[in-house]
Amino acid sequence: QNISLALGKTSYVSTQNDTQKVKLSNLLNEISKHYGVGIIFDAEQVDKLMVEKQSYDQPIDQILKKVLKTTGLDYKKLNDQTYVIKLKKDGSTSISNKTTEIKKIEKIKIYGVIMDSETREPLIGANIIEAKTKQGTIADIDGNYELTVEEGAVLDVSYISYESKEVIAKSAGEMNIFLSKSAKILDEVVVVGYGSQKKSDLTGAVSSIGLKELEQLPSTGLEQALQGRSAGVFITQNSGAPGGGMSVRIRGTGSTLTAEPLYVIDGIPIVNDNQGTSATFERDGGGQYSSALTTINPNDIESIEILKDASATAIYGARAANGVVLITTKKGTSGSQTISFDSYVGMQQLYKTIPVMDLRQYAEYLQDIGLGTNVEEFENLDLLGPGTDWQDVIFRNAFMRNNQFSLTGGSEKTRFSFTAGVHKKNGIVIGSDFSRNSTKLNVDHSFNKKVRIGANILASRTKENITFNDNSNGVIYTALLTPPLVPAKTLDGNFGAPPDGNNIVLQFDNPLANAVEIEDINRKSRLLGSIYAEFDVTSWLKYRMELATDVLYTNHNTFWPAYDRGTVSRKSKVRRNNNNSLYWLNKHLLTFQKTIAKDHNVTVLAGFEAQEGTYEWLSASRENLPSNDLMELNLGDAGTQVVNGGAGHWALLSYFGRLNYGYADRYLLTSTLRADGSSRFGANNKYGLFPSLAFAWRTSQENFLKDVKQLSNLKFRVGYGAVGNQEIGLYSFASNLRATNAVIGNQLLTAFAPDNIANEDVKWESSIQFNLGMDLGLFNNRIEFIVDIYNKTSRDMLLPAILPATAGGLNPPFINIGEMRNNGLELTLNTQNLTGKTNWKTSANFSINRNEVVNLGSTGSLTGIIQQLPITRTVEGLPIGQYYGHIADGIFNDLSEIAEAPFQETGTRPGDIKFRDINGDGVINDADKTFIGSPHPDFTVNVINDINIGNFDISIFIRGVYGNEVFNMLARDIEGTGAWVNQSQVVLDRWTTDNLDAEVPRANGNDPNSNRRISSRFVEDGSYIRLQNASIGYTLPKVLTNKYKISLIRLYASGQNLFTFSKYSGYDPEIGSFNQNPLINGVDNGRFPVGRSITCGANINF
Amino acid sequence: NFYKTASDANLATISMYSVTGSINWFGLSWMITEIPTDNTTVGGNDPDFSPIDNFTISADNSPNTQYWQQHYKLITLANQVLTYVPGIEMDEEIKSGYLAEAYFMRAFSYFDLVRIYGDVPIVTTLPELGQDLLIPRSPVSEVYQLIIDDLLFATENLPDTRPSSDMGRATSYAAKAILSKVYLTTGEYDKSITLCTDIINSNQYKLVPVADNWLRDVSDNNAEAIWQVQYVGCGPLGTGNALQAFFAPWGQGITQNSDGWGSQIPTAPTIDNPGTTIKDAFKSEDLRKYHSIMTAGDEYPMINPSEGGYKYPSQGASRAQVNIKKYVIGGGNDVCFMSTPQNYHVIRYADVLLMLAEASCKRNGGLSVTPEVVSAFNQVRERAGLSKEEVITTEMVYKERRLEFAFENHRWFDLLREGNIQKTMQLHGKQMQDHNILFPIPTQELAINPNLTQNEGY
Repeated sequence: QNISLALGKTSYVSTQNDTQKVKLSNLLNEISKHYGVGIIFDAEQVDKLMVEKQSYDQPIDQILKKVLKTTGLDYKKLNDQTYVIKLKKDGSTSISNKTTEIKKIEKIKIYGVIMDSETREPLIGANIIEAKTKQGTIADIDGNYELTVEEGAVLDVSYISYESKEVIAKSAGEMNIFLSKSAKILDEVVVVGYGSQKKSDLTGAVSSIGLKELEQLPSTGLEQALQGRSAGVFITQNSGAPGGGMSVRIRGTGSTLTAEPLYVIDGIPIVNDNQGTSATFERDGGGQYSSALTTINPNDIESIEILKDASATAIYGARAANGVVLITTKKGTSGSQTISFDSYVGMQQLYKTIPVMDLRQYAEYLQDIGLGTNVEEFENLDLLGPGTDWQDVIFRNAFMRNNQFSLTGGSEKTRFSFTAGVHKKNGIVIGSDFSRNSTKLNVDHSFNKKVRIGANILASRTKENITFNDNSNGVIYTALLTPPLVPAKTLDGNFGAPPDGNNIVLQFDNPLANAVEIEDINRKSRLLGSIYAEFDVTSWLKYRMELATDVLYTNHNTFWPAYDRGTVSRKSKVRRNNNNSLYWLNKHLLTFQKTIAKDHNVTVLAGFEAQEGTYEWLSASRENLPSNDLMELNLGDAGTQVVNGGAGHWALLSYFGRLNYGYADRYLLTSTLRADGSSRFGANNKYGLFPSLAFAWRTSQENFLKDVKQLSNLKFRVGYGAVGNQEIGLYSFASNLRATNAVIGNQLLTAFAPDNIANEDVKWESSIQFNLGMDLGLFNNRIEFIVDIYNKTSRDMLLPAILPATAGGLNPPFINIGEMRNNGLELTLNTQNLTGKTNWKTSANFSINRNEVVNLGSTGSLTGIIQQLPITRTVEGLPIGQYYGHIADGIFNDLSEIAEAPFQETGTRPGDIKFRDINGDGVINDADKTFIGSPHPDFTVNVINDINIGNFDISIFIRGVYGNEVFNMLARDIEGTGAWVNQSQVVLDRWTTDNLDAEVPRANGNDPNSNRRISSRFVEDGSYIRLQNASIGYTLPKVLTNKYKISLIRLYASGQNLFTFSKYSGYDPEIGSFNQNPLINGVDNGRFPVGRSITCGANINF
Repeated sequence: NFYKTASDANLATISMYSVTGSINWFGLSWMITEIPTDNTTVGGNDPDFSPIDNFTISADNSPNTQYWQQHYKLITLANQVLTYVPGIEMDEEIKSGYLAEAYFMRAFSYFDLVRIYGDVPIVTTLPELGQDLLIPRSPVSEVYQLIIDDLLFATENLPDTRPSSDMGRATSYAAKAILSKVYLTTGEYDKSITLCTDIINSNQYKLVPVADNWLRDVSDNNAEAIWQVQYVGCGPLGTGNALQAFFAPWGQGITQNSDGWGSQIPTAPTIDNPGTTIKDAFKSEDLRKYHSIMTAGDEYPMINPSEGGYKYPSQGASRAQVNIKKYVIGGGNDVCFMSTPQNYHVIRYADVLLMLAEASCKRNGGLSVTPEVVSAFNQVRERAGLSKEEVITTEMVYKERRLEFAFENHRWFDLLREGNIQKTMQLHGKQMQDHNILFPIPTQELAINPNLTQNEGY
């Protein structure tokens, strides 16, 4: 019996156009090619059959039905890509039964499962054929096959989009066969804006991250899972706090306002900014926003596509300037029900401590700076022990766990997926944790052949326990500065304070108390839901309607208990902060898809979309509560009441269209156009128009290259387009009012005064991008090389105008004047070093981005401020956010050096830092500040190795960032030789008359030379190489699991952030941007470090 | 959607008072209009105030920059009212009242600017994008013309009195008093006399005992007050009187709010200024002395009475061994950091009486015997417990003004009107240069606006 497999690639015998009847086998081949699906049929069965030719302007199911009508055959859809032709049910035999029936010459009977070598998923409908006899069978719905062949027979095993494989039937019994995905993944479908496309048809720069990559990293937020996965996408964790924010830069920083990409979750756009969506704890002393995306459970994600160039992003128009991240969540599949559990537990720890002085060293230090003589504890230094190790007190081994349950399944008509997840992660700083409970339900139903409907509901609730960090009064910062003399807790269980009467003056509280006593809880409840209906008007015209909503409630409650400890005290204070936001979206899409005259593939998408967001917030606080146990607002002192509130509203009305045209699979053209009308734009610029055009040439499809066996793919892409950034504030065009206090008749009144000068012309910031790319596949795509170069120019950046005071102190209007440029190179190299049973793949990517601020208009320069200090400056001609300060030129060793040097301060003495006189005027002042470092890396590189050996899978992920600098604010204090505070051990090697070649200046509690000023002294090399992830998994043999009706058990262990090689003296050189502020990158302000974590887990599928 | 109703018009109008009430206005004015005079000096060396005190001020001086900014801020809020309120449908009489308040405030601000800086940019519209915002300076005469036009409208359209709920808002008499001083400054003495006479004949105002102007509670909106900035204690920043914080002697615990910095103190006697300090100027029997300056042994039972009052230390509490008493009222429930409830006298009836005397003397070649004028002058003297005069001279009026309005931000302008300011300051021991008659245009304004020129000498 012959079983043929028609693949999309197979050339076919062309049929004569004028005859109506054609050979069924030929027709099936043709259908297979046209629709890009595999059709499995028994050559014997169809051999003689002649059928009527069909037009291809109808769904494949319809064609097959018509074709087979008179043949006594029927078809079955195994999956989206595979159809099998079989005898009609009443024909009483199925193909597999028939096989065994026909085989009379019994030799040995083999059976087993044909599976994907990586995922261990059964390959339904896979072919297994004895090479000699051409007899064989196909795997059933569970991937099982059963075959009787001669002993030692060579079997050809094949499956669509998998590498074919020869196996030898050595002995009777079970023989499981693993197939690897074909390197010819060109026909992989990727999600693009408002649709999906075959990867081979792409003309733009799109990175796709699949389930497997996402599953490798047990992470709290989805941004972590993306880190290092894609060239040109630079992701840093702004804070290592559980649930902490991330900054994502796709092809550099393109705005001074917000440079974060647009996230689209199942078609619902979400901006990860904090306006109206996320509570900040900045004002409480902590410095970082938490991420709004932590409400999304990464386990629910099926794939993530990152759209990088304008050709790919332009369909998102005014929101696409910073790139677009498309997130597709898991959907139901038809077929048998699958229940799966995925659980892991983990432990995180600080992987590096900063050595600070112990008690004795601290005492000696104090005495050196002329303090501590009255401290009775310091009378006999020899008696001093090490004192309190504050880092040991505030850092901990933190536990985390994750449990995920999923149930998927469905019939041919209805598919569903239900998942529920519980995630809990403690932070490595005591008192911090994050938890999330989430569920997702997805249902798709085919009402009939033409109408499909579906719904997707994602609900989650997160709770963050925040400890104040990322600021000079944060827990980490103060833990490093608190003297070892202060006990964490006293013997009677109270929080420790400097002992009475010894004059130790501290301006901050016990760090442990700060971490655990302050209650700061941020709860978010999110409901993300959408429904759709899809209607096939004709076989080539489809209409789709979607309605979606995003509801987010944030409750942020804070309580500061009263205390009186040593030199510091505080009144109690309670604050309640509520923030509600509501968003809706209505979308209508028409898709036209047709092949005209065989070679012309045309897809046209036309759409209309309306969306609106509103938010309101309310914040109330009172002080002086009667007791630290009573945290209710109404109990506070009414006179201290502060109530604030606000609301905002925005809307976007959009029309868009896309044309995809392909000629003979060789020449591809994509053109998009979107018109966005935004409430944020001024009256004179309500609508923005965003066009793009891209062209790709699949050179490898040309006749002159078709015969080059080694070359499996060669494609050149070029694209150009304009997109916008509408994140310019909700009302920057409007003239706003400011509430002011005026007293009339002894009454305090609220009056209104104009706040700003309006600019009715305010519009989006635009980004114009040119992209040139090449995709190269060699040796059956075992080597895949992708290169892209781009030039992205951000124009019309919104900057404040500078006004004279005669304009009355009104806030200046924002005007679209700035310009910034990003040029870059992205290389990706994917290789399959070994295939087969031992499988080894390497993915490497390399990115270079060069940022330059071209024009800032009259603004001249922008300043990034932390701790009220200007740290960065952004000027024309340099990259955004350069560190700005004095240059430290060593240390003065004697008075004559000071006398000869330019004047610094009246208190300058030997042992002080010598600063450079940039303008040569003999005085060191503000005019001598200059650019002292850059947060931007020269390049980044990521290497991921995935290895499968038998049932083991191993993954090793290394991330490297080179050439960036970190501004170490923390060092300003722990190496600042301040009074009373503890110091880094580096300060032990400070300048003294006996230690002239020191790098740390003399100790002096008052710092009369201002050695702590912002200078190159605190700029450090921020390059690092990090073992980001290493994991090992083991899949239990089916033989064992099948007995218990378990289809898969995989056990794994994984470690994240295992080692970091860096010269940086602080905890962690990966700093990120401060609150996603594009002007402040790489400034370590006592950042919550990302811990090293080890997790162990199991996946179980039933 | 604002500027649609009468209530909107009212709220917009009231916003102007948030500027005059702010710390940056009267909490700051003394740095410009008292510190450089013979009345006061800085409490201690200060990079901002000392150069003003000793006439080494440079164009980047911060209080000077603030002074410029705050005055244009008030002008902008006035222009806001003048731009939007005319289009609001409402009672026409009330509307013209609001407009008159805006004209009043705008003139009030320009009057300070023109006297401090000379030629200044005239802004009479609300700044808009596209409109030329880089305005050059206009000559002094044009500025005065604007001031006079604005105030004439104000005198005609403002109400004569305010109900207690509107106390603090401009009245026609406040406008007349300011306008009278404008005329006095421009030398139109007849017009000044007419306006003063008008106010006097209204019988709406009278002098109150000295103490009643300076004791808490009674001083607010008393019979002498023509225009007071209204304050409440312990409200949001800029709604209380901040002067106590600057004037109260340092380290005496008077305010009980860890403020009281003695930033401005009465001039200290030095070898260079024998007999010219304000302390020297006060006769011992002058009732105003006790309420103006604190000298050794003075007791103030009204300051923190629960603690038995305050006694000024015999060795003094400043380097001058005297401190300012005006606006120092001590602590209490209604007193917070930089915030007391005591209203601030912008213009009071005594000023009108002395303006009448000054204008009359100047018109008559330096002296006056006109009974009404002499009587007006003597009212002020008698209230201070001093003897009557028969003949008054310009010089006497200025001497009287110095004592009557000590530390009330009049001295610099009085010295300017008197003429000879350089000589006066020289006798007082301070080297004032020609160019110090005017203050410098702030550096940052010059940097932003290339159409501005700097005053000579800076």
